[in-house]
Amino acid sequence: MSTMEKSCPPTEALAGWLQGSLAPQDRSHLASHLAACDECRRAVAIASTLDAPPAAPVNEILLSKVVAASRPRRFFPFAAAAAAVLAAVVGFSMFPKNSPPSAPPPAVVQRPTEVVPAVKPAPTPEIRRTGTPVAPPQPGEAPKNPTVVVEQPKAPSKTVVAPEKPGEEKTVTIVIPETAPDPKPGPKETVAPVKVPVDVLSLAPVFVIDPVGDLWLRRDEAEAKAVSLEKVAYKDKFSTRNGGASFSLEARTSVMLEKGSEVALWHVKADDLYSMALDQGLVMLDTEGSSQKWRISFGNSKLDFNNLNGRLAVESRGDRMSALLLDGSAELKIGTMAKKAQVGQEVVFSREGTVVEQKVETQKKLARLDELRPKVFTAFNSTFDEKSDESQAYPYAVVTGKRALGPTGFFLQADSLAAGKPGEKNALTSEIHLDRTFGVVTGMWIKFRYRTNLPTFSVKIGNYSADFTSRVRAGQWGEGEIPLGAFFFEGTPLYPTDPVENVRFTGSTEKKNGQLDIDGVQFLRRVK
Amino acid sequence: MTLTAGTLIGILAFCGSRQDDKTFQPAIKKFREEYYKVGAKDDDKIQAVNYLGQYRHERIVAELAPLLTEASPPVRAMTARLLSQFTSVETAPAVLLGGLKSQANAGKKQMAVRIEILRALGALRYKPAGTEVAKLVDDRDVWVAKAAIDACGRIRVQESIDPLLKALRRIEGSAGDLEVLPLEDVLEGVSRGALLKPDPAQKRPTERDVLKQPILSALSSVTKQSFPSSREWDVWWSKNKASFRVAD
Repeated sequence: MSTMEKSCPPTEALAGWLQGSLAPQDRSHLASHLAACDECRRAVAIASTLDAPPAAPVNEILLSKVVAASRPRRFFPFAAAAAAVLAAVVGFSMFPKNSPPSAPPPAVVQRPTEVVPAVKPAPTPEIRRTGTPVAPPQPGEAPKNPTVVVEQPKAPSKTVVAPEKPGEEKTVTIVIPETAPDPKPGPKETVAPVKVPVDVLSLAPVFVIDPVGDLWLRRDEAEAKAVSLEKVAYKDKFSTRNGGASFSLEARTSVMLEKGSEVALWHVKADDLYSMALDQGLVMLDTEGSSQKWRISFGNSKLDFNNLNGRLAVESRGDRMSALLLDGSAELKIGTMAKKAQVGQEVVFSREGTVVEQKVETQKKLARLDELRPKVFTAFNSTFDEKSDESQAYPYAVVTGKRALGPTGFFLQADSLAAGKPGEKNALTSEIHLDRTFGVVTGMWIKFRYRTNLPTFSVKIGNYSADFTSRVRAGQWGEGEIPLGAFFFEGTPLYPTDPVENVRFTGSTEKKNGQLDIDGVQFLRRVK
Repeated sequence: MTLTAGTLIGILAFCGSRQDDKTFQPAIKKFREEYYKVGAKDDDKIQAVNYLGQYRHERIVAELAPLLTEASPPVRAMTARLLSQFTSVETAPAVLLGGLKSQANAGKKQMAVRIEILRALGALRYKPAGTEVAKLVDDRDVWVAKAAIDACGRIRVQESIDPLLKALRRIEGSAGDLEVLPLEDVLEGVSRGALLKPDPAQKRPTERDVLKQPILSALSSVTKQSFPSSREWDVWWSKNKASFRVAD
């Protein structure tokens, strides 16, 4: 598919993407476009990995060439012919017949013979902001490209509102620094190149939900305490300071960080692979009954856990990294070695890829994991106040009913269907479709806020339904919860692994002004 | 000569079996590790079953067969549901039929297992199960009866017509007025929660509401005839029973 012809962004926008200089909104739009447009994605990916030292913050010339090359070439034969003729004409007119065949450019002649250090040891944050997005953290990785000359940018404007005390629960706002390059050519700085992985555009942000404990999120130079929902890119880092912390990662994995840990997490969409780069401390994962792919990056080494279904502890030990399967099963792969992971068999590896295995005790770590872990696991959560953009942690669509605005925000109002025949009742229905289906897990239940003037209504998940008796007066809001095991379809209940794709609320009444409003739907599981 | 051919077939079958074992051994090994691991819960076991169910082969059916009678009710039910997708494996419906006949699935707590097996047999359109399925058309559990009626409509054997007509006559009478009770406490480990107490004022559906239309549909599917009530069906059946053959 070529979406390039429809509404592809200009080259400058793609350059801005690579620079990280786009406004968050623009970046969000462009990210959506890149997710759908093969040509632009390819162009940016190629341009981001080009080694030629650019004279601009981002190699816009090369980028534009790549963009041009990746776009459909409808008029290529004519354009090429015209360009050839033009080049020939210009060439003949510009070069005198007796000019020397090849004169070296002055810059080369004037270059001093002394070897100048090509890489500046520690680029300042401001300079770094002008570069391409940083690669996933790989401690100790030596820069491969010796020099990149970039323009000095304006000082970034940044606003960070952090809680006054580290342990204080407070909503904070992080404004990502603006990094528009200075239009005027400024003094040149030489900085260490930041190599963007080829697959950078397939790295999707991860959603962190309901963090508990002393969890902090660092984005560029800004740092703030993590709030109830964070969208985290691969260059952001989580850290814990005065105590441990835990959170649910995209409602799929429980992640526990021991005190003093620092870690980056990201997701490779194409492979459905979660990746982790741990700088320090101890991180533990629980895949909560699902099979997942995880990669532990450490320097040049990569330890892969395929079909990880269980609990994993990853610990940084300075120049070594340890990974230990605490429970469950997985297939591990590091370098050329691939085998089934053994519970209690610790894999210790270095940045260079040397691997040592040893048998260790898992009980203490398991006990600590249980201590730290989130006590409730959220599989879906909607308050109907979400904006329908890509930042939705639990994307969904309203199929029936409509979002209505109340004093405290939006709620889902059921559509009313008038009775077709005398004696029939009017029907009320609202339904949402979950974009990300999940499987039923034992002990899961649905929780919702409701307001109705019906004595009973039904909640349906696919073909399975449960009747709910209202416990509130008409016009008042109340909370309801139903275990998923109480949903039946013709005598059979919902079983573990059955998919949850939609939720429907239905009721019937003889009244003309029937009411069935839902404000908030959650699928939860208490962790024992 | 016969002996030689038989020996040859035996050798080929043996080789084939060995080859199958080799092909599916890694998957079976992984399944066993996951299913029989210490502390495995129903969720883990169902996941292991679903994993193995990706490979649709007689060897896999043989591996899953014991679960239909030995596992917990949710695992049995999910195994039956999985086997309903083994359309090209001849042994799958036979294993399901065995599970339906087994005393291990006769209790009230195994009602959902019986229902899933009936749905699976219907989905596989396994004619040898027609008579056994037809016996359950008049089951006292209305949802088992409903699943059996639906399965009869799919399997389409002549032996199911009489039981279907009998069930139709029954629910058209006063027996059809019985209310279908909520499934509270029917299934192990399932609780409706404090807020789910049924409203006494709410009218429950009757057996007639639940079963009449499915019976008429099943009869219509088997006979390719259509009548609104047992009276017309009885008239037609008395005239045609002797010569009737199920059309392919």
